[in-house]
Amino acid sequence: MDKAKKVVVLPCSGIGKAYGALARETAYELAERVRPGVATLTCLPLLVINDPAARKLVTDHPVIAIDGCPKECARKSVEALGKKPAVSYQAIRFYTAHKDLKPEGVAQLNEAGQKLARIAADELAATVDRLAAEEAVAQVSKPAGSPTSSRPGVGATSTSEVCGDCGLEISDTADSKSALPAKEEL
Amino acid sequence: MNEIQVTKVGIVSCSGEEIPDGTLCRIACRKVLDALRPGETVTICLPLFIAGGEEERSFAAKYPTITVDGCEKLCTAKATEMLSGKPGKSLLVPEILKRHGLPAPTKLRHFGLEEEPAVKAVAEEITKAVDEVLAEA
Repeated sequence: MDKAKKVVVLPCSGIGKAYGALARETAYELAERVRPGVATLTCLPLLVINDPAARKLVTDHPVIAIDGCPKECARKSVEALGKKPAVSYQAIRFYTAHKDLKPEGVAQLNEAGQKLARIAADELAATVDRLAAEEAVAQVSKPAGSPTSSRPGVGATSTSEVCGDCGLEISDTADSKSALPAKEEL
Repeated sequence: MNEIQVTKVGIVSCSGEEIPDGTLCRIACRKVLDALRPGETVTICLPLFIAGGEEERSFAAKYPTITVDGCEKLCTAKATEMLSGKPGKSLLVPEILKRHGLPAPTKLRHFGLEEEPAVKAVAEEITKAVDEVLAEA
């Protein structure tokens, strides 16, 4: 049942822009502080070389993609596996929702960027919880021998909403046959 | 026959979000790009070989390329060769640390003084590789 409790967080892996660093820092905050043991990281380049273990992790669990630029490598790398991320963000949205915290630095984020990542991760906690709960319900209701992923790319629906609290734009792609409503709770 | 003068080397870094050596790769590569060889190096985000277009995929054809990997899976070297072109040189961080007698980093982020010798050693090896590639070109 452990499998049902994981939500994969896949950040931008770029080393060229502060928003890539912000995406990565937010993912680290989720995995290390906010939802350790539930939010799980994997290396994006492992998907590029089609690593079997990384591919299975991403295929078996809901994925939150956090991209650093409009090229959306994280989202597209998941889609290249034939799956859609459950939720995808562009990290610049975290900044537009908190304009007093300007992220700077690529190798290492400045203090404002680190604070913004902490805030963004706190705001994403509810999404991680919802996805983990949906996955747990799907595991229980799934007949024996059926596929492990509850979020196939086929038959998925997409919605786009804005968080009432922080103003983040959320692109939510969810299986239309999910046991829980696909409505984003943020 | 005209010869093309090679003036820049492409550096492709492992991003290794899951491992401390990946963070070491990113920081060391950035140090070379920003401080040690700023005029002679360019970079590209590895996943752009899949997510980008033809321009991104022709990166290794345009620039002699050095790949820097954080673990034995060699994502960077493999992906660059598979999707763009054969790297000129491939570096592996654990081998560099072993040669220098340095311990592997243990943190995923917020590197500080403790990790500085490892960052310096890897950045110096990348710089040496850049100089060699430019000299050979």
